[in-house]
Amino acid sequence: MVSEVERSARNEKYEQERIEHTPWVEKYRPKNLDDVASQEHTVKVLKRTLVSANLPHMLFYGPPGTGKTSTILALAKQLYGPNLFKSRVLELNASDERGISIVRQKIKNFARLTVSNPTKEDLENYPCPPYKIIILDEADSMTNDAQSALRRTMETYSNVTRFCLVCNYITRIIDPLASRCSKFRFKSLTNDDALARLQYVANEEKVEFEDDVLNQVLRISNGDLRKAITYLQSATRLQNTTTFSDEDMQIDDKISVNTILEVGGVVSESIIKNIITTIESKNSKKIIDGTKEIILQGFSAQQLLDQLHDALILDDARSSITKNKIALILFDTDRKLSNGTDEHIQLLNSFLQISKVI
Amino acid sequence: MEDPVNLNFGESVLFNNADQATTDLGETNNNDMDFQSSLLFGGVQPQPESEQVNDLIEVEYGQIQPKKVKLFDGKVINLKPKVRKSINADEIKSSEEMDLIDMDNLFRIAKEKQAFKDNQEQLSEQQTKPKKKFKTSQVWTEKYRPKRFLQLCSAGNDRQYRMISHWLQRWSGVVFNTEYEYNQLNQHQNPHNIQNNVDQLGRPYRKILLVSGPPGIGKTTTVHLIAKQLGYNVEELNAANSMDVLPSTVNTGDNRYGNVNAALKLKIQNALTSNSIQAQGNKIISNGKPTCLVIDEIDTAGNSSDIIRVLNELIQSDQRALNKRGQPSGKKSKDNLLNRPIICIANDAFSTNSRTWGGFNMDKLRSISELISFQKPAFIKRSTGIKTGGKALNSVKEYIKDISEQENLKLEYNEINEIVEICEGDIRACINHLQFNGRKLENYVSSSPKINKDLQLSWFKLTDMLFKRDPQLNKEQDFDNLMEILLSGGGKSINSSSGTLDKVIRGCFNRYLDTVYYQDDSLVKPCELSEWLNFYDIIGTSNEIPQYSNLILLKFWQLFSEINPKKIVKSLLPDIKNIEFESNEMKKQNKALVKKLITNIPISLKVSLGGGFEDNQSMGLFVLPFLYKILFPELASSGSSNSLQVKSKNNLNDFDKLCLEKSASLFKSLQIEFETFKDNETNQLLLEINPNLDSLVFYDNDILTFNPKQIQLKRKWFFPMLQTEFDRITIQSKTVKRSITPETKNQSKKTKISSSVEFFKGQYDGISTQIQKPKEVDETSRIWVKYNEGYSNAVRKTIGWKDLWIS
Amino acid sequence: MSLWVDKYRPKTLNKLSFHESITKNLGALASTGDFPHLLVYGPSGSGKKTRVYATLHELFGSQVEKLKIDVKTFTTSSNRKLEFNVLSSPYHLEITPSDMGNNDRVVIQDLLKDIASTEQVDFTSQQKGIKHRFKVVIINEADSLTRDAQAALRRTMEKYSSNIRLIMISNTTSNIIPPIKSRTLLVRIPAPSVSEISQILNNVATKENLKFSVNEESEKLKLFEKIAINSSQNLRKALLCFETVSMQNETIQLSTNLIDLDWEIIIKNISRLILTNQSVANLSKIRVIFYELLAHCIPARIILKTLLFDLLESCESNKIEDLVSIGSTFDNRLSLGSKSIFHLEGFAAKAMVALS
Repeated sequence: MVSEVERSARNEKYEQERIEHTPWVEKYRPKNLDDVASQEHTVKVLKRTLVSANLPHMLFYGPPGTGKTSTILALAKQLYGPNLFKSRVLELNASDERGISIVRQKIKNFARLTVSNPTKEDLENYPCPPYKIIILDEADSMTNDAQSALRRTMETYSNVTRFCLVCNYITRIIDPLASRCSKFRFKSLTNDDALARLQYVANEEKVEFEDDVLNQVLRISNGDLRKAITYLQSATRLQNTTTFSDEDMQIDDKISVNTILEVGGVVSESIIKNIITTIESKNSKKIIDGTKEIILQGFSAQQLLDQLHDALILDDARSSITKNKIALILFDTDRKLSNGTDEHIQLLNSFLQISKVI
Repeated sequence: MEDPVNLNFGESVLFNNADQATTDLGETNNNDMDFQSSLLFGGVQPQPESEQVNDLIEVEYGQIQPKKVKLFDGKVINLKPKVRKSINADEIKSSEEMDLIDMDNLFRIAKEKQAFKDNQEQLSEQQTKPKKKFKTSQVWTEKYRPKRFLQLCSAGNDRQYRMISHWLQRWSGVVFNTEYEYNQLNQHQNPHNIQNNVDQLGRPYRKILLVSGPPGIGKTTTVHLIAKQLGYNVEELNAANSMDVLPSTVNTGDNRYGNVNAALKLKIQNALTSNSIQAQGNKIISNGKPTCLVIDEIDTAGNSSDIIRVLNELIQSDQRALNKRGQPSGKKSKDNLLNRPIICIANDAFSTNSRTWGGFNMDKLRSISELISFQKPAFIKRSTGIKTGGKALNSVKEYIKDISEQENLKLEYNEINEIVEICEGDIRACINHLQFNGRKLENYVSSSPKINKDLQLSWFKLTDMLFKRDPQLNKEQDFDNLMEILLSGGGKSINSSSGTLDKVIRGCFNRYLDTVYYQDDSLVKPCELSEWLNFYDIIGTSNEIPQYSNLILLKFWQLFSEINPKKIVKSLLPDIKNIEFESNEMKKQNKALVKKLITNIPISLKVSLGGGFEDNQSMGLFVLPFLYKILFPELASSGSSNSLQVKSKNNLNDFDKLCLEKSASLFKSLQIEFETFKDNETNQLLLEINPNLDSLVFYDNDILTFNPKQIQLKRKWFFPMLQTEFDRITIQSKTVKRSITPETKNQSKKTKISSSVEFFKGQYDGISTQIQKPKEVDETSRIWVKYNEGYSNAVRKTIGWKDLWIS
Repeated sequence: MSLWVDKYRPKTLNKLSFHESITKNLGALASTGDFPHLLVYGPSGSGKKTRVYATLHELFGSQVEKLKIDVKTFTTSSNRKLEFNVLSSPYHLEITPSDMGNNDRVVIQDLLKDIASTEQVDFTSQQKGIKHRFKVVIINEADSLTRDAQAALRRTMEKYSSNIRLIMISNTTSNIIPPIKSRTLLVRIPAPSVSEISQILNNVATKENLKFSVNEESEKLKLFEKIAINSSQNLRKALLCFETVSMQNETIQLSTNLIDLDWEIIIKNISRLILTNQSVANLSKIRVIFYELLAHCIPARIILKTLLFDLLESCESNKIEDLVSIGSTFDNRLSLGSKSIFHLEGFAAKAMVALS
């Protein structure tokens, strides 16, 4: 029996370890609709369904990291409670096979099942409406064939099953599907909401940081809360471990802005400034050398373009005609880069072009 | 064995297919025809008119019922199943002259003939003027498959034919009987050759023949024919379906192993030994001819690795048996000896498709087999400078012409030319083309210059059209004409077969610079064209709107066409077609080389060299060029003198010694081996390394020249030094055994080391083809003879006094 | 005896010579016995792989160097057999997606699932007493993963995060989808600077007892710097180059000609042809050379890039902009299309027009 105790102890330890390793994003997923940040309108509508226990098919769309998946998961949890959740909710993801065959078999089979009876206990605590929910995450990456196969399934089994499609781009969802769902748009998080949430996570995890860090995190993550939390976690990890290993060294265990920048793969402001001065010098030799230096530094060209864009376009000192031209050049370069072209040539080209119009 | 009913029926289906677009007009005639035909065959039930074509198929086989057949002109006739008795012996004799009487085949041919004859009788009876005759349902490639050695179309491969036949002949000693062996050896072959290529049983040294070459030039046909001619029964193991039961020509019941999945080895061995029992009784049974195993398509077979493994085992066991036999004390067990020839056929002897643990399959096979490669008649090998072009192509053309005459196609010589050109010397493709397009070509010739919509254009013709403007029409009309062709009719067919458009465009691409050069020598047109080529490339890869890709041809026309194009005498790009082809081939070859080298690199070095495994760019870019230079250091103390004096390590200074040691150890760790390679054209021995990095490292153009002679000279003294270095390492470790030379165990190491310098010395002296005099007499009265020196298959072996006296 | 690239490769973190701060961070990560998924990026020859292996060494001990290669077969949906190499030690395995072609999604998913299902038990490294419940999977050339495969990875990374750690190595992050980037810890490794490379070469030279015609350190460093610049700060290339030089000269002269690679010389010549004489005849000559370069496994895009920068070096400065813009267009075409000779010739023609 000792071994039994031991094993349970080990299991516990393991479990603990596992929790430690779970990304904060999972850990701090909103547990109920009230926790969902920023999406007041959606939350209000959905809350009503909690009361009426009547749910249409739904289509959530909006930029990444705005809480779409979190919302539907929270809703499902509130509808069914932890026990029933497993048998009532099917979550499918882009990484699971989602060809037409899956739609035909797995989804259909699940959709067709009659609902299991909730226990009395659950009934008291949760609404437990008599239907199941199928969540199709990243639905925009489903093939058109698969989507059309879904049309019929959605209608046929609507008495026992509700679908919830989650996607970034509503344009990639075929019209017949979109028209069957009530659409919810998730807007980007407002800075205040995001900041509050981030602050909350940081407090929970007892992260210490320099003053401007949270704002910086938000800035480089462009309103994507998931990204922001991930960055925060990575930075914490890097920071913690560094202090751990070099005990004698004088390191303040606060997360610095630089760490965040490095974690986010962001090019530092000074380098961007350098580039802009080089470009403004209009000296092609200089530009060639400068580009080479940047390439050797290993910066990602796409990231660089992004930041260059911000720096140049948001600079009010430039006339809007110039900005137009610059934006066009940046667009062209970005397009070529995403074709998998050589970063060196493309960066050099865009710098030279910009230097011409600036 | 085809049932006669079956045959006829099959034919009727064919006819039906040929006439799917039957019009109502045709149907109306049916009644009449039916009536007639039913008169012809007594006891025939007329088919109701309303019956569909499909119903025909439902007619039961067993009952003797006529088949209703629609001809392509819409008429319907009835065919009566044939009974065997109707075969006429006279006809057989007159129709076919055969070397070997293959009864099955004869019957089949006779039956077919009979069937055709009957069909035609019916046709001629019913139709007063038949428009066209379908003479045969047989595919011409089968029909005109050469039946005798002399019928083979040479296609520039005569030498290869002879080599195969020589190789096979050497087997006859073992295969037929031993007395014959000596007779034949003494009479027909001079001892010189025997010494080189034959082992003590009179068999060729390498027991497997690997025939390689591009598709459609008659490898399989040749091998079958020669083997038959020499009295073998050909057992074909078709690698593509070798999992199935073999179609056996030997009726000995040896192939009863239903699903031979696991018994592949047994199967090969069975095939090889199936007649050995009969031969051991010292009497040759008349119908039991010895088997010659032919393994076709060995490079593409799914289980090629298994097959090759089995072959390898066979060779090894044979080698063991041979060694035992050589020893006077050894038991005379013949069981393991290989006594039937094996021939493998592959398209690409250097294929790297499949790979197993030890490396590439084909590499393994190559090392144990005699290699004979067929060549396409169309291509001129630049590296050797010897043209196989003209004569070989002509022989193909002659062959095609023959067929066209026999089939009454009335093709002009230039049309044949074109066919051969289109098919790039692939004889089988030529014949196919002839059969199915022959008539259309005829149409084309006879039709007026007004474009026939159905015409099939060859890429060759089209390329010409693009560069030449019709003088009678003005520009717009000509353009319209061309557009018409491209967007409907012939152009569409080009489009549908993706290869053709590509060929046209490549043809144009290869040509346009010359045209520009003579027109205005400005770069404006090439620039404009490059945009369109890009358009073509992108459209081609997107695979969605291919119909527009034809438009690029119009651009070619617009840019370059002339009413009177100058005859281009001296092209800017001589031989461009070959350069393009060779570039592609070489790229493939080099890629395979890199791949092979990478698999051999020790793991830690592989990690250090970074990148991925297979597609490593940096490998070809800078690792290999540097590596090559490290492998072959410039030894300073040896100076520039390339004299053939034997250099030894002792003459070198310290630094060079260091280099040498490093180089040797690298050679070992990268598993690069030396090979001597005999150039077939110049008959010179070349020293090569395997894998051969030369082609990857050296360039040969105006800027950098590549001088193979100098490299060979350097290698002549450098290799022996490396060799001694290897030996030194070998002694130190005492474990490494070189894989190429299977050493017999009774050889002492001492002799090997002492003679390894001499071994290479001998190589420069007199290059190897001559027999060395017996050198020393052992106390056990055995003689050591240098055997097959300079070849990678060099091996020392014992020869008794007897062997020497015989010659 | 092995090549210097191999011989002088640092095996542990504390022997790594440049980018101290990155090394320290990695060491810190390793010392906890755990780390998040990593995405290591930087130009080639900057020591990405070396760092990763050193980190693994730190993590698992010398066992990671016991490498072996397995050939795995995978049967695709079209029933074609696909063979690819997996380099593995008891603690990690390494794959290269470009070996797998278009099937990389299925293959990687399968492979990862396989590894994840066999949990690493009792991986107790004796000295530290730290348990490693995970296996490390190194993905080479992660930027050549198809979008499909990357999309599949994002979920897989989370699902199996308890017993698999991914380390992705790539030259650039441009082709890696944002979800992956946000799930990994980005580690940027810049190319070593010229002085860092020459320092390393100097170390090697002392260890190999090489003789130089000059004795002063500073003079030698000049040579090393020359090599470093010549190899465009690619340490691997620099070491190979240096080794070759040392094999060819007993005492290395300061003035020793660095070995130019044949294909580089050839491309230089093409650029000279383009600069001096812009004619159709020349264009045809260049085409033949292009064919030969392609035959020698020099990728078309490398040819274009080298040619472009060679041209930039020696053309007048007012042409630079035109040339670069032409270059970028054709680079784009090369990466989209498949018939490289068309585009290479197109570039040559346009460059000629721009220069004339």
